[in-house]
Amino acid sequence: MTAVQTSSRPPLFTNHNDAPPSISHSMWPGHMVGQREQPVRVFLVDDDSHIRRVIAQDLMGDSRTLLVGHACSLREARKSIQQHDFDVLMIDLNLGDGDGLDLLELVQGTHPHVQSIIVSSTERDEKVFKAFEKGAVGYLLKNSWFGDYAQAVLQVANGGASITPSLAKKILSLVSRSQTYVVSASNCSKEEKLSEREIEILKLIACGYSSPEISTHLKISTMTVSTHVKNMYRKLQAKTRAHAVKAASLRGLI
Amino acid sequence: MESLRDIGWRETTRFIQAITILSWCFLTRLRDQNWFFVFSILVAFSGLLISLHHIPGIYRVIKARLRSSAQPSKEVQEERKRIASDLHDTLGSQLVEALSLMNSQSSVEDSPARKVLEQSLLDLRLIVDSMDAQSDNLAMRLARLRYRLAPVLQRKGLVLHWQLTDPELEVGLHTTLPLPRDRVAHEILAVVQASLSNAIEHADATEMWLILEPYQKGDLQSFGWDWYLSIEDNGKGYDLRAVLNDPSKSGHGVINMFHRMRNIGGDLHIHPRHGGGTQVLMRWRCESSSLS
Repeated sequence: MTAVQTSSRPPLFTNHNDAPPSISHSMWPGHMVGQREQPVRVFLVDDDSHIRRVIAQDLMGDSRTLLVGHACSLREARKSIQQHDFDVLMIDLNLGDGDGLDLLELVQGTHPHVQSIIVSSTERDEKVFKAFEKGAVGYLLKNSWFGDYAQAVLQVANGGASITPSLAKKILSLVSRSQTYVVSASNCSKEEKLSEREIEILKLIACGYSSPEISTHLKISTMTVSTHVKNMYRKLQAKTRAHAVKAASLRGLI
Repeated sequence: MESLRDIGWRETTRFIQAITILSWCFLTRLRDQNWFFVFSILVAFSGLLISLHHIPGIYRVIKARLRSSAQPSKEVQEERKRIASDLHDTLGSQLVEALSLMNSQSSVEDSPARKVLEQSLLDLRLIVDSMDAQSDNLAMRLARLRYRLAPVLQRKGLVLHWQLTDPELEVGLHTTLPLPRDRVAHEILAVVQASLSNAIEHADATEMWLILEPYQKGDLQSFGWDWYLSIEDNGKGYDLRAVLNDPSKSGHGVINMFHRMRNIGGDLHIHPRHGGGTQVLMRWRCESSSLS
């Protein structure tokens, strides 16, 4: 495969996370989610008060996003999310009094329309991978340069998804393992099997190529790259669900 | 690869050595002959030469074993990760908040204090990155570095062109030569970080190019090296000789880059780029011969 050429002016998205560029509010297209009169509502869970302040400042500084509530612990979050209606959940997985994954599962059950973004200091954490298996679609590196938070919220609210190189490699190893050892290719339903194109995209992401570079190389739009990433998450979740069902039936639970 | 002639010579010498030793043991009459005594010394000398020929190989094996045994244990690695995570979470969030507070005051947009904070945050992120994931191969570590640097590059308006080969993922050029891991990958990544940091902070560059590729068989430019990693920028460039003679921090940084590459048996060239800017070229050989 030949090397990917960088596009200096990508068509829509600019950064590695496939996030929408910093389009000024007046230029924000009318058909996209996140309008001044109907901003994207966000609920934030993080035990670090510094980060909470920074994220809150960033979200409140953008008229397309609105922070409707925040919590500093798992306990507080469990109580508060029942009282709020929101579109996007931003969550740190390492909370002082418990595991953020439990909350993620709870929100997936009670607020199925909510898109979740993980805020974590490392993308290699096993929990991050599990969070994507449990339905998260966005990822933000903690202590990243500020200005990313509102963009990340708008990205997932508009059907986008982000992925990191480590996560891509992990999915690739899972795919090759399941095809070799765990589940034979014929046992994989079409719903959970990754396509050639999806594997190709994962490989390029694992090598550090950005969405605009991948779209240029594969001659597809950055939106299509994003759609492929979201499909991969859907299949990953389906695979996890299928394995859970299979494991439960083997144990005689169902 | 040993030639047939070398193997022939070696085996003949061994045969003569065996005959000589057996003659000393069983043919007692020959022991009194002067010519046999001189012949035996010559045979012993040839044996010594053959042993000397093997010494570099034995040295390499011992060195490799020492290196692999010097790998930190799983507990130490876990502890490193925890320290990195704590460092990042506590110090990092305070730095981000300080920058955020400064951001609300437009008068300090380009203040020196802001630049120091930004540099500290960048350095912290790179330290955490190098402490995390020691076992990943070089391509993965570069990919993660790019992911972490993406917001900084975007903020500075810098375009990073990326061209990378990873034989494990079958991306880029075809090769059976493996990419380095562990200590070798760590040292190369440290040089890459220093080069990118120089280009981002001091070179006033607008574009950078990073290429990681294997040398192809018969490539006259390879000079026996297996892989090369090139980082170029279109910045203002710098006088390497002047920097090396400068006892300040920047001089030490560049000297460290050379030390790091020498420690892994690689080499480093820093020279002006054609068309302006700087090129940093790293080259190294594989420790093991091939992937398959």
